[in-house]
Amino acid sequence: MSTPLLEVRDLTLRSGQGRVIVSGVDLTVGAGETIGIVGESGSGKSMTARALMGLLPRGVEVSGSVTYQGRELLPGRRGRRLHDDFAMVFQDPFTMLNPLMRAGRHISETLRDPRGRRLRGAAARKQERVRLAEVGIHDPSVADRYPFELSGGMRQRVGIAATLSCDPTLLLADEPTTALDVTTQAEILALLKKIQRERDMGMVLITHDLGVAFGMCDRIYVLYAGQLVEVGPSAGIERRPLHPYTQGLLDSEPPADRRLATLTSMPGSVPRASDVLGTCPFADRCAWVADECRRPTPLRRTEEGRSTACVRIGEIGGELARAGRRQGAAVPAPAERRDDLLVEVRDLRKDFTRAGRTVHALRGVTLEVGKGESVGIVGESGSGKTTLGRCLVGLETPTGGTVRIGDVDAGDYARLPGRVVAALRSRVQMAFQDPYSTLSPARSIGAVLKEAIRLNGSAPGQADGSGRGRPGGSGRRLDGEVAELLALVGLPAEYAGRKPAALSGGERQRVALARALARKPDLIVCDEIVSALDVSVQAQILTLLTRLQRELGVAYVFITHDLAVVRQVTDRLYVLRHGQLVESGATEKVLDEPEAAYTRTLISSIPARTEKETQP
Amino acid sequence: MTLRALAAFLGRRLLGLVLLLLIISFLVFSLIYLAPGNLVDALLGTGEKSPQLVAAIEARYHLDQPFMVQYLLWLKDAVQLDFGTSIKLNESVTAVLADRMSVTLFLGVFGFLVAVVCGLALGIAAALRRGTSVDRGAVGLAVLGVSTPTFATGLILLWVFGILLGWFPVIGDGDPTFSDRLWHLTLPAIALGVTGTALMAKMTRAALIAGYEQDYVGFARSRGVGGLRILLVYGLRNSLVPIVTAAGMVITATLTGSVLIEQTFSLKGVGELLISSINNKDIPVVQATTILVAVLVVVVNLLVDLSYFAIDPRTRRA
Amino acid sequence: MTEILDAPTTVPSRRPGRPSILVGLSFLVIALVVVCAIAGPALAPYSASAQDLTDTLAEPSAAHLLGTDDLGRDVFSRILAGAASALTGPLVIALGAMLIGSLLGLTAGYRGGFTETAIMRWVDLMYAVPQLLIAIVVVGVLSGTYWEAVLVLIVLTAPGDTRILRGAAIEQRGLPYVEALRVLGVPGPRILIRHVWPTLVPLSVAQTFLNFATSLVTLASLSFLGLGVAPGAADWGRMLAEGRDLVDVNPWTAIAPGLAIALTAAGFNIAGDWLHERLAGRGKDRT
Repeated sequence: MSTPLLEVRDLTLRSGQGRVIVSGVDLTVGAGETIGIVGESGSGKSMTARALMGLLPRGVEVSGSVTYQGRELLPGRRGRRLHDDFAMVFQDPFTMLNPLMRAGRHISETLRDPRGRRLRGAAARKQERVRLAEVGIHDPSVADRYPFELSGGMRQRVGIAATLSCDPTLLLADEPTTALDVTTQAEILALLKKIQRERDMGMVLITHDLGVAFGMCDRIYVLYAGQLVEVGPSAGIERRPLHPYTQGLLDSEPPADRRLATLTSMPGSVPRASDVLGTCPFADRCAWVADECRRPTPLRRTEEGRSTACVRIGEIGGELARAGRRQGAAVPAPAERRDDLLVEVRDLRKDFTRAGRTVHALRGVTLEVGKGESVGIVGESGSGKTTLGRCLVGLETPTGGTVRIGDVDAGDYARLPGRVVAALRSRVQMAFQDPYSTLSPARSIGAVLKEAIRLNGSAPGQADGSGRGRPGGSGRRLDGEVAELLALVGLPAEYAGRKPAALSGGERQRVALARALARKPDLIVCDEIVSALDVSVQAQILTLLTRLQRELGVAYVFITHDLAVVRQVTDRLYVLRHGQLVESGATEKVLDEPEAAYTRTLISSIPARTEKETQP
Repeated sequence: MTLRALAAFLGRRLLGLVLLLLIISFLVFSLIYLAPGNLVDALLGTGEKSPQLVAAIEARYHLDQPFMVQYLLWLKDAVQLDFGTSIKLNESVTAVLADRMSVTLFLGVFGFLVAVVCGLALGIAAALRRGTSVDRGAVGLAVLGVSTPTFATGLILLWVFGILLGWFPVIGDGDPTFSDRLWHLTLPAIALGVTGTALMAKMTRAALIAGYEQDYVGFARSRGVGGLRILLVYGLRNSLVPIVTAAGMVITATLTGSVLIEQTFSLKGVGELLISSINNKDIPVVQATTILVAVLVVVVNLLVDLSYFAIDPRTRRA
Repeated sequence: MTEILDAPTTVPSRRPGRPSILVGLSFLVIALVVVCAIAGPALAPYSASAQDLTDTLAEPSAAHLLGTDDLGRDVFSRILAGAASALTGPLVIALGAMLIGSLLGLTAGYRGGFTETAIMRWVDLMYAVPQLLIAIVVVGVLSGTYWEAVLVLIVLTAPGDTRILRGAAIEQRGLPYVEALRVLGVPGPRILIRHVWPTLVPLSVAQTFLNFATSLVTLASLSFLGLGVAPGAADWGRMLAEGRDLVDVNPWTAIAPGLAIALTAAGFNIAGDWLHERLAGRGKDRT
């Protein structure tokens, strides 16, 4: 094999305090080849990309070797790119463009005329137009607009055009579509692939999504807690992973095409890289852990082009493959249960007025939720799905239409008598997206849960036979109830004494659910509650939700942008777009036989896993 | 943003400005009533009180009228820049003020320039060399600058450069020629500028550091945009709003600081006039000076607000 | 923009993650000033008002560490005695402003609506006028005493606290944990007092340190101009004014009180900035 374009050996990154972030990473990128670095948060994938660009944050130190066309680039100069032929597409199109600079100027500011002077005037305009066309923007007026006047997808296209302005031979893309809507994601990924082929660039795609990586990359590097655990061709890894973590990652990813009886989830969460140095980083979460896993586990070649860090792969390979199959069984979604109506929303409208402009967030949405039913609301950003959820719990007051919860007209909480609101609060609860701000930072978990439990006592008209909600429950009874609630969401009782800062994201979402459950609601509105979580943790929460529904008979309004997730936890589905209902029906039916063109677009935008069914 | 929207904004702001000045003028006018002692005594000062004089004063200040009428009559004159006669100097207040203006204006502009130039330079240097000894030094100076009262800075400068080294004159504002003024007012202006420099440096540093942490700076670096362009087009351009705001605050600080500095360096400016008038209970002069400063500050604040439109296209087109 | 205006500027530490020596020194200075304020006269070698007309304008010596002034009073003893008025006024101002600011800021930020508009119009008004000038004019025209000057400065300082706490309260109001508590049915005042306020206390405390420094400088400016303190009082600002004309004979009569003000204010400023960075960032525990 000729000299590869980029060769990375033993790349190690240390933070200012000397803590290891990434250790011993080896990568190879050939000309025209696309590799993927796949990992969850804390894996060090973004830091690796930044190290390759020479854009590490202050204090982070790099060691090892990075050679480009055989030339060593490290250590490089601070504040400068590692090499002028490298370029990087950033993750967030909303923050990566200079808000005070025309979109086009981002593209032309680094261009030089043959005499080495910065392009200006007509010459710059012409280049801007040509290069915008390359990324699929054929409206030349875009060049003259400011970033805030462009949509996320447009900004990402402008960003890509700007990235390409130095005509790189190696393109790094750090989660280039994570901040975008699903339909835009598919377009941007296709665009990147097209440009990579046309320009025959080497590409490094950083992503948390194995599905995306399989679709885009020739080879995949799986990074976990700062160490590579598996490397191989996409097809090979997709067919048969050679590391329990990769297998776990694949299994945790909910399939979009069928509902599983149980999602496999890995216990626990991703450790810090510095805590698992010198051992297999996955050992603490692995079902096959043995003594030899507590020693250094470098990557070893197993077969042509593949390597794994799992020292036990020889023994457990067969078992691992079988574990992957076990979860393949699909179950039909439960039949419709709408005999007993819990929530009835008719022609709901909501306008927001900001800076003199009116935005119609909801334009007449009708929705029903039965007792114990799980209802999904799916839509992209701006669809009004979150507003709808907030209207249900009185965080927004609708502009028009009706919301009935049980036999109460809950359109405007502010106008209802306190007694009625209290009763509503004990029927409908909500859980939020951001796990890091969903709990009072100043108070312990136990204090928050107790506060919620005590509210049951003060709510009149609460007929419940369990005897839990009596006013002024004694301290010990409260402690017992807190422990019960924590157990219900799968947390040990000691967590009552902890502050939110000591909890991981997944644990915080569990507490948030416990807090909602403390009021023994009939319905919990879940607003994107798993979208900020890593996929392995997401599976845990989804499993928890299904269990709670089964055990407590609680109903959900599950708001999400993720069709695969919604398939796993909902019975019926509403598809929203621009504040209007596009389609509704049984989840399975809507997803398998979509009627609306928009729903079809949504479904076809899901990054496809080429292999649909695992053979039994 | 359309012209109409801009006009509407301007209209709203101007209305607010007028309202604000009305409130301030009312408070300033009320001052004479809040002052201890007999009003006529206050207006007459310590001088001899003949019945004719008392009657003249009562007529001049419409003391026989209800309070609100007095205020409105006073306001009517004030709008025409007539603040009455100085009790102490027996001269038109406007003339007295005009006489004192040149020193204060010279000192103020000089001090403001010192503050903006030094503050920007220090702030930029600190932000670019973040965490180094340059940064530590700049921030240390800035903290010391806001912590040291203007008059103390003035006095230390006076002692070191005026007395110990003898480089600059210790007292007075010099001849009205530019070069002599410059020589006499250099120490006062530097002393006056120290607080502003500190303010400006702190703000510039904070804004630039925040700016350099933005994604778009990283993205620009990744595209190979040069360091100077990143500083100017990415860093400073995006920091203009806080920097201009800081500059507005520096003007205010310079105005009030000049009161102290004129006292320290025995300069015959508006500030010195204000203090001696307060001590002499020369109320008309105090009123006029306060109104003058209030108008200046309010206008500066308006200009700062307007500059946001020029800086940020989002405010223009939104 | 306001975040940048209100952002602290901590002197960067040589070793990141640890307080710098400067921060340690600042707390030392604060402690010293507090000790002097309580026990100053007892520690001083001479009485602050004892005149010795046979030994006026003495240069610094073993007997008089900072020399004597034109009435033969020991400058060092007067500096120690001046700590009391340098500490009490600013302390009352900073605490008063914290109290008023917290109350108004939290109410405005959490309640919104007319209450907020009314409170913020008042804040805007106070921001539109230069504080020191207002203090000079009001205290001067009213021939105000020290405590009246303190009162005026509380009124002038509180709007800053109000604005900062309102901003922080608005930020918290939109966070999921507050919304979750609302949905849970926790009454508004309880959310404000039990959940939101504790997260803002560190911010408020840090701001109090900064306000202390500003008030110290402003009060000293007033007394330098002869406002709020009697002539001859052992007050740093007053001493500086009286030492101004002696600067060519015994400069320490003016320089010493100037340094005392600057060092104390710098101590509180550095400590406040450090607390701001340390404590106010704690609520945001996102990793």
